[in-house]
Amino acid sequence: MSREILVCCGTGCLANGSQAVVDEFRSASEGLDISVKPYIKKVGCNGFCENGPMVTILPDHITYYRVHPKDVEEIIQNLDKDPVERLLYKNEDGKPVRSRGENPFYVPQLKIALRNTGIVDPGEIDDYIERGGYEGLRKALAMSQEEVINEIEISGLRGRGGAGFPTGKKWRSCFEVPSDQKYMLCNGDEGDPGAFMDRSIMEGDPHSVLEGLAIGAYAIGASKGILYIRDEYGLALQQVQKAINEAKDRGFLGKNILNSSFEFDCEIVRGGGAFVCGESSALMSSIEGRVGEPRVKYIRSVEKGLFEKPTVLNNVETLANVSYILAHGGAEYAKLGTEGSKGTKVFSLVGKVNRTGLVELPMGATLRELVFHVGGGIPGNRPFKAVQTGGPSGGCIPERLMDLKIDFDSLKANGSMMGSGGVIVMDDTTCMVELARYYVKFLAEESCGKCTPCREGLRNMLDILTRICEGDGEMSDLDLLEELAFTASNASLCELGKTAANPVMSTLEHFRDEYEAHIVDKRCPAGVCTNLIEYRILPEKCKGCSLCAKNCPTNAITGELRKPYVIDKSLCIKCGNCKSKCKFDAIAVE
Amino acid sequence: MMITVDGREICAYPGETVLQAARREGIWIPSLCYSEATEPTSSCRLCMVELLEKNGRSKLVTSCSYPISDGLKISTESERLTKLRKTLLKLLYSQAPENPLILELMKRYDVEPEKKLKEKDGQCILCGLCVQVCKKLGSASLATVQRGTTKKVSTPYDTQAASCIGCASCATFCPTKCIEVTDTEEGRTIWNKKFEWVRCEKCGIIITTDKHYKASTDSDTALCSDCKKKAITDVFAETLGEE
Repeated sequence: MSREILVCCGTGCLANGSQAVVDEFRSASEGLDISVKPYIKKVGCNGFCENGPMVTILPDHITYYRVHPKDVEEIIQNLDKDPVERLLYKNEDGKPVRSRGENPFYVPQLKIALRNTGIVDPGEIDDYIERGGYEGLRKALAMSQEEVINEIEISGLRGRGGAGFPTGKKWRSCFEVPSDQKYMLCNGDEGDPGAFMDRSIMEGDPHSVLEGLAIGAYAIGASKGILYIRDEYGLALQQVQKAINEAKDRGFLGKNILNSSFEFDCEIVRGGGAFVCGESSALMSSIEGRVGEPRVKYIRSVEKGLFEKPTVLNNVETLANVSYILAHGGAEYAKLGTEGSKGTKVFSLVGKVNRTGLVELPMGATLRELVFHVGGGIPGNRPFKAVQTGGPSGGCIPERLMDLKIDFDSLKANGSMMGSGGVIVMDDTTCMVELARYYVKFLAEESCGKCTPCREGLRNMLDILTRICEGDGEMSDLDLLEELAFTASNASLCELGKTAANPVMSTLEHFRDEYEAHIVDKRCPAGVCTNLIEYRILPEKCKGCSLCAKNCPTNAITGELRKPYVIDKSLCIKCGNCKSKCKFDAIAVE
Repeated sequence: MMITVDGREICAYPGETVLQAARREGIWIPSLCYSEATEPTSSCRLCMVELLEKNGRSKLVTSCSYPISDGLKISTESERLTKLRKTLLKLLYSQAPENPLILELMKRYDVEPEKKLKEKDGQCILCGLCVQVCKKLGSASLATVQRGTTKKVSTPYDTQAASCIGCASCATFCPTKCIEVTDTEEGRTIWNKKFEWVRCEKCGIIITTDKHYKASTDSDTALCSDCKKKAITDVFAETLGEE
């Protein structure tokens, strides 16, 4: 029986040493007889990065986690026997899970954009073609431009980059503008902290993006395409470049594509890592070699975009969906999701949650399913507090709204947004004021600084939030925060500024009591803001083991062995080391 | 084309912006970063107006860059606009404290400085007009550098810009008058760069900097505008045979 061994070589697994695992598999299988010799394949991100390196054995889909090169020998020897149990994933009840299909992290998922990621070798175009790749482009080229646009409109696809603009509508507007030159762009400038959806697709299945780009170019009538990818994404840049070269060699890019008269060429432009360059007009400005600042868009980029020519810009995940839609039909795709949001969405699930990683769910799944089913709930069964969707300029959603369906419109109606799909889970040890301060700090640094309400509003919101976190806040600060937030969201030039106040507004709406506790009682309920907390050893719980004292960097803890220790508050720097080291839960934060 | 501003019908030309049409008709809309000489940057946001849409809703747009189309309905005053302008002025004041122009606008809109806003050093409001003007004139010696709260206007790597001709147009256009120009008998210093004067060969008054003069004319004889006029008159007189 022919076997394939898929070793995940996404950025996460590579960092965990998966290249050494691949090498070990190759050398260990070298001497095997041709009849049993497995084929070793390097694949893209499987999404369950925290348990990497991941190894999947086909055809049975046995999946091993945290594989070390020294485990390889045993895996090879057990290929025809029972799986190596110690390397399998253990369920919440401790039972080992054989295949990916039984793993609770994967069970609720539906992979469309990630259909090939983790399965195909991103460096082998034949692997992609074998799984139906470039079938969408072939079908598109047999259709008229308008028929392709109709197909996308029927699918109901909306942009996955954040704003959720209908893709078909965008293409149609650009198609209708006559011009000698048009551009088809791909936005791979994923900048949200903790988000890695687009990176994983570009690394693991670059051809699905290129195919989508070529289909879009055909539909709008563009002969030139650019993929704007942030420079920090080294592996993605490498894989996409390789894919471009291979696609050119095979006639999927270049002149007379698939023997038609359609001509399309594309190249990569590397972004310098500015968050704002993910905004469409700033991105185009950056490609043109100018300062990456947004411009007013009263004349839309579908009319005058890159180099003043009609331009369509689509996100990586959107394009990966486009190639699927053309291959399987718009009507088929529209069966998935909700009334206003069709298809699936990829999320990067991070924070205080048991299972973190890359997740693709049908639109309309609830936040509860995402956090508690896929994510497996909060570590240590701590109380859930809120979930932040939409990245730094999204908003937080409290427990009472957890049954909210995840789609573009319902998230927006509740003060957050879909954004590009970052999901950060928070428990009772997360301070919501500090959280707002963190996001505002990120945005204040990443604002392009062009317009007053965003640049100065963020600067002052950060100043006020820092004051509150340090215990110097006043109740009137909240009014000023609201005033600045109102101005930023109404008067800013681009969407970054318009959404920049979301973290402040949503935490003020749902967690005003925490702000008041900081200001009035000078207390941080989550025990995070160092100026407002004190560490104390509970004498009834302390066993006098001295572990805390040994780990205290300022020698603030003293005592006698087997008797309760004490913290000298004048020396304590509130680093929390003692609390994290204590085995008896004897250290209280007050 | 006809557009309506605050209920008043005014005539506007294709290619114009709302602000241009309104100003021509004497309708007041505040702004700091707008100049007829350059492309609008829409950065100060003071010139925002309400665009009244057919469905009864209204949308905020910057009048300095919003293009005219027939039948546009605009309102320059609303509760929302007043609120926004007041906050914007407080924020502008925190960047350029005690600036006369901003104080004047604050007086007009009845705004007091907000003491809780952290005041910045200097007077630059980062409107970017200097950058635009310099680019328009062909030097492009200035740019906004960095981003976010550390953004500033500067020359390349904060050094002397090779392309700067010392014309000081940046300083002339600066709404808060914060670009330092030092003119002495010997010459001009601007953006860390020193320029020598070109003086009128006839009367000796300062015409402009050497680099600016060179960039503007091919003539070998340096004359001030008065002496140039006089010289031309002399030529005319000679041609017509008059004394």
